[in-house]
Order: sequence, then structure tokens, then C-alpha cells
Amino acid sequence: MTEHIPHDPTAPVDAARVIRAVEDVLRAGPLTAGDSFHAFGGSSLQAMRVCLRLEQATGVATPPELLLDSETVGEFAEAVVARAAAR
Amino acid sequence: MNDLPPIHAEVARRAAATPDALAVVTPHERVGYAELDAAADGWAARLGELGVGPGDLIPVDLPRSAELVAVLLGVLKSGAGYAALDRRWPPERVRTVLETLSPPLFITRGPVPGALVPSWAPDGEPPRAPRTPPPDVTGDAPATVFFTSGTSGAPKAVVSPHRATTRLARDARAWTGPGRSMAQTSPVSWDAFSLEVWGTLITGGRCVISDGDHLLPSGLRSLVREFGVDAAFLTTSLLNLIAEEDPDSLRGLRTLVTGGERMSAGHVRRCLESHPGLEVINGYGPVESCVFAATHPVEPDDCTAPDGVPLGTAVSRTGIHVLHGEEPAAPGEIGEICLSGDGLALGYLGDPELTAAKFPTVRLAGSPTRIYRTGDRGLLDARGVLHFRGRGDRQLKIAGHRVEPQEIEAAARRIPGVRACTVAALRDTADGTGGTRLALFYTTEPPGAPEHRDLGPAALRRELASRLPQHLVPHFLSPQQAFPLTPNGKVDRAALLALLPVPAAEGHAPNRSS
Repeated sequence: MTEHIPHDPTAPVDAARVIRAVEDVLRAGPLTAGDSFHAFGGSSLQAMRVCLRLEQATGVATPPELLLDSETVGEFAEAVVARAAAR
Repeated sequence: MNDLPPIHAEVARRAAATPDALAVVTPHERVGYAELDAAADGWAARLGELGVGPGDLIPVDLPRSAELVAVLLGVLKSGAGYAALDRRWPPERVRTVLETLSPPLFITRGPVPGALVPSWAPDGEPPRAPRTPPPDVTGDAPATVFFTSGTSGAPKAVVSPHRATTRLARDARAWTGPGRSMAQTSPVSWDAFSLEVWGTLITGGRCVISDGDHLLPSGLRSLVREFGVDAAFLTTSLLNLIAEEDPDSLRGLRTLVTGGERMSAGHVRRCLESHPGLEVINGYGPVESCVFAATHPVEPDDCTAPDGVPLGTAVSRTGIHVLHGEEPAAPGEIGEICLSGDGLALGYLGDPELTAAKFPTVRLAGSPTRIYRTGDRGLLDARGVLHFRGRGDRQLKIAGHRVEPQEIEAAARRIPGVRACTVAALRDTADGTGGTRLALFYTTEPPGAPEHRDLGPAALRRELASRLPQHLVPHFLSPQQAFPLTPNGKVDRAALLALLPVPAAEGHAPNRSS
């Protein structure tokens, strides 16, 4: 499987990087912060894939429910950034 | 009377034999067999005082924990059966479950929809109960209720007897027993939960309950490294995801049991190549035959077989029959897969007609045999090994869940403002990371009609999510002015699917390498 997100746990986790991870898994986009994961048919398995790739690339563990329950990918990205900052 | 004992008698036997062995482990607790069995005795006594007993079916909504296992065991010791509810089900789903079970009480710390029944929850330590013998229930008594998708528009309540679960122990010994540790990661509402918990506790193994609802590779690593897990059940979809993204996370496992959908030979090959000593068991079986009807230990040769990995041979005390109507098909001939034996459910609660239709008694080899008609198509080869060949209806398996599109369509039609709708299954044509997904195409009542309202995809998603479990909420919701028709006057699903924002075609995600 192609590594879409550069593996660098020390690089800052910003919202753009998170949204790019969602785009890669959905094979849709470009997505903006206001887009909904569900508008592109996002499934729970795809949410799991996004979260495991983010964890591999950044070391930040994010439960897939966070993406499934977010209204927009921007909201999800903010939550991931906050988790990274709280490390 | 059946000679297979009830679940709680088997666990009590283990507790007497190895009282100090660890039974249930979570990131926060370690509970031995004697302690678990005594806690269950205490809860059973308390539930008995509350009027719970044989004939009752008790809904249970507690987080996955050692306490949950003790309470479920307590319900069984009281003589009743239980239905473990998924905590993410919406209130309307829970209400349907309560109406179907009509229980004397609901074990929950949350609200009871419609205040339909009194609630009760364990509070602190279980009462110390004298070891009174539990009510006289046999292996034939109802033990577990599983709710699964139904074509009629409502979920089906599958009631299984104790023997359906205790029969699994003989096969579970292949991967569990004293000294071994099985992960518990499945939702509590699945029959796989019975395999993970009761299959392990009946054989004397250790059940390790994971944190969180979705198991990711990092979680699997932690189960193996920190808790000594050496066996796990993963759905086919999850196994495929792990094989693609992080096969190394399987390191340390001795046995991987998988099932729920058709196995992908390419994915399992990748797992076996990364971990040559790993034992992979492909399991097949609808919930009506409690977890598994057939299993197959996957060999490297299976991964290159032209028609896919076999479903295998029958588990203990289970019969597999491929029938045309009521007549057995010849070896190699495709027919309907039918099951018999001790795994069969007692039936669908509150639906005797459907029970009679799906669980008929037919004459097989000269003797009357109760069977379950799975609706799956398959064949038995010359060696008696079962192979899957698809379905004859619309039923789908998505991420391990059974999905009847008619149930979703019925739920959508009940939402005010929806005029017409149709559900289509689709697969990605780009790269397949989405697996099989569902799209709901719908029209709304026109302006001026009494039920007209603005019902965009986001609003409809909220409505559906308040009525259906998450796995039945379609991935795509697409409003239409009218449905395009084919020259034959049928809804043109291909034209509808072309409107979605991702490249997709109708049908199941392909089994990539077969």
C-alpha cells in the first residue's frame, strides 16, 4: 500500500495534513474544511483507515468515531490537531 | 432432552476445576474464574429477587467489561436468556428491541425509551449469595437473542438455545483453552461475542476485552504485547484492512479466526506470507446457526485456488446440506446451503410464520430433520468440503453486518417527506478502499403536498441515524427529481450510480484475487 502521508512524527500535525489523509482514503476531492465525510460516502472502514494512517504517520491516536460523528472534515481535523497538541 | 449442558454450568465447572486461573482481563481489571462465577451467582440472586427467571429474555446495555460478563452469566444463572445491546443503537432501535422482548426489566444505566419497562443496573460489588443451585434449565433453554436485519422492514430477533453456544467449545479448543488468551473485540450484539467470551470461558482460556469500539492495528499490538493475546476473531473486512495497511500488527498471534464475509485469498495470502506460522481459520455461518456452521484452516494452496478459499467442513454437532428444494444436490452441484444440528436457533421471536418458513422439517436420508434455509448458494465438493457461490436475493454483508436493503427502504419510507426510494449496493471502481457501500436514492414530496418539507441529504441522514443502527445508514444519500428508467421501465441503477461523487459500479466489492 502506498504511503500517502510522509512518516514524520515530529512534523507539526496541521489541519491541511489531516484533510489530505481523508482525501487519500475517500479518493475524492480536493476536499475543503467545510465538506462532510458522509457526502463522499465515507464508511466506518474508511474512517478506520484514515485514523490508522494518521496514527502511523504522526503517532496521534484518534478513534474512528471522531470522524464518523463530525459534521465536517474541518471539525475532525481540528480535533486531531488538538489531540496532537495535548501530547 | 439434549445432552449439551447450559453455558453457566460449563463455566461453573471450570471455576471449580481452576478457581484461581484468570477468566476475564481488561485494561483495568483481572478477574479469576472463581471470582467471576461467585459474582454471577450474586447477580443471579439479585435478579431473581427482582422477578427475573426462566422464560424471560433480558436486554442488557452495559459497557464491555468484566462486570458485563458477570451480569450476563448472572442472567443465565437466573434461568433467563439475554440480548446484549449495542450501545450505539439509537433510541428507536432500542424501543423496538424492548417491545419485541417484553422483558420484566432492562439492565442499563441509561434512559429507557418510552419508559416501557423498569431499569436496573449493578451497583458496586455483587451481593454474596449462597451457592443455591440455579433453576433447572437445560441446553435447550433460550440463552441468547441476536437482532439481525430483516426484509420485512423490522429487525429479526434470533433466539438461540444454550446448546448452540456450548456446542462451539469442541471446535474452539483449536485456538483456546488453559494457557491461551482470546481477544474480545466484537460488538456485544454479535454472535461472535459468544465465541470470544463463552467459547473461551467454557474451555478454560482467558478472555481479554479490548478498549474502544473499533480495533486498529495499534490496539491489536497492545493486546498481544501487554495482555498476551494469542488468538483473535477479526471480520473479513478488518482482516483485509490490516493486511493492506499494517500486516506486521498480527505479529505474536498464533491463531486468527475470521468470518462474516467471503474471504479474500489475496489478503489472507499476504498475512500468511508475513507470518508463516500463523493459523488462519475461515469460519462460515449465519447467526441462525450461532457463529459457525463450517470452518476451514487456510493452507497456502487455498490462496491460489481458482474458485476461492473454501468454507470448509461442518463444526461439531452441525449438519451441512446443499438442497434443491427438499432434495439433496449431487456433489459439485450448486444449491441452497441448509444447516441442521444443535447450533440451530429456536426461531424468530414473535414471528412464527417466518420461523416455520426458514426452519422447516424435511426428510433427509429417510429421517425428519429440522433445517435452517440460509439463502446462501453453494456446493459440496467430492470430498464433502463446502464452497460459497453467492446469494439468490438482495442480502449483503457489509463490514461483517448482515444488511437487507428492504429494511433500509422501509425505514426511509416512514420518514415524512420521503416519497419514493431505492437502495443500491455499490463497489468502488477507483481502488476499492471503500469496500461494498450502500446508496439510497430518494424523491421527496413536491412543494404544495401536505408532507412536503426540505429534506436534504444531511437532514435525511439525521432522520435515518435516529431510527437505524449505524451499519444500516446508507453511505450515500442522493436526492432525485425523478428516477431514471431503463427501456424496460425499471429504475436505472447504473444511471443513478453514475451521479455519485466517486467512481462506482453496482454490486459487491470484488473478491480481489479469486
